Amino acid sequence: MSTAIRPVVRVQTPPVISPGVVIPVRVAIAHPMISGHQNDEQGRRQARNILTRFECHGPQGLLFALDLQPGMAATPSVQFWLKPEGRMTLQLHWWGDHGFEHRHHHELVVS
Amino acid sequence: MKRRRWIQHATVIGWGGPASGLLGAQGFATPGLGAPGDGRPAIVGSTVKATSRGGVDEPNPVPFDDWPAEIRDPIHRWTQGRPVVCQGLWLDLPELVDNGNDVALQLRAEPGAGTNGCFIERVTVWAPRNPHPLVLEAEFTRHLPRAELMTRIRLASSQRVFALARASDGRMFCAHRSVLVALAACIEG
Repeated sequence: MSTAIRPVVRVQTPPVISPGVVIPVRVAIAHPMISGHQNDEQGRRQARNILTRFECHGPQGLLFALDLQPGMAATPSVQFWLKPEGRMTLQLHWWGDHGFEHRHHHELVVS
Repeated sequence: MKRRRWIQHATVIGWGGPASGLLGAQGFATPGLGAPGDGRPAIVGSTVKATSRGGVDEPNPVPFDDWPAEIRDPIHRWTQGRPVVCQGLWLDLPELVDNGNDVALQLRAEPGAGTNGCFIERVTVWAPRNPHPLVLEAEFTRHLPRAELMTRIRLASSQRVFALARASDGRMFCAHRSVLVALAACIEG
C-alpha cells in the first residue's frame, strides 16, 4: 500500500448464510474520488484522484471486477450477489491514481 | 400531482421524456415519454415490430446514428459494431435527484439474457452529459449467480443515462433512463 492513511473498508454480508443461497455482498471504501473537474477553495483545479479498479476474488478466481471512472460517487460502494456453497474468503483489491493500492479480505461463514 | 406535472413539463436534455425504465418491448420510444408526436426527439429504431400473426418479434437493433453524439463512437468501439437491442437489461435510477454527486443506480440483467449457457460478462454505464461520459464498466463471471449491481454515480446535469451489456455469446443489450438533476455534480467550485 502506497498511501500513508489506511482506507476504511466496510463489507456487509448476511450474518447467517445457508449453503447455496444467493446473498448480497456490499463493499464500500472511503475515498474522495476527486474527478479532476472541480476547483478547490482558492479556485485552483484539483488534480484527479480516483479509484480506478476494484476486484473481488474467491476460491474459484475472479468473481467480480469494476472499472471506476470519475463519474463514480465519493466513497464508492458496490453491491453484487454471490452464491457461496461453503466457507470462503473474499479477497478484495482496489487500485487507484497516484499508486493507490489496497487489499482487504472478508470471511464468509456458511452454516 | 404538482410534482408530477412539473416533471412532465421540465426540459430534459437528451432523448425523450423523464422516465423510461424497463425497456423490453418499449425500446427507446416510450409511449407518451418522448414518443413521436409529442414534440420531442425519440429513438424509433428499436421499437418492437408486430408480426402478421399478432405476436411480437425481437426488437430491432438501435441504429448507429440514434445514439447521442457524445457517446456514439465510444459505444461503437465497445460493441465492436455488433447490433444492440434494447431488451434484457433493467436500469433503475431515480426520476428526480436533489444532488447529482450521489445518485443511486441499480442494474440487472434479465434472466432471459443469460440463457443457453451464456452469461452477461460485461456491463457499462454511460452518462452523455458528463465531462467523462463513461461512468463504470463492470465484469461479471460465471461464478456469480446473477448479473446485478448497485452503486452510486455522479451526474453533471439532467440527462438520459445508458447501460450496455455484453453477453458471453456476443449479444449486446441496452437500457436507458432519464434523470432530472437539481444540483449538478462534476462542474462546481
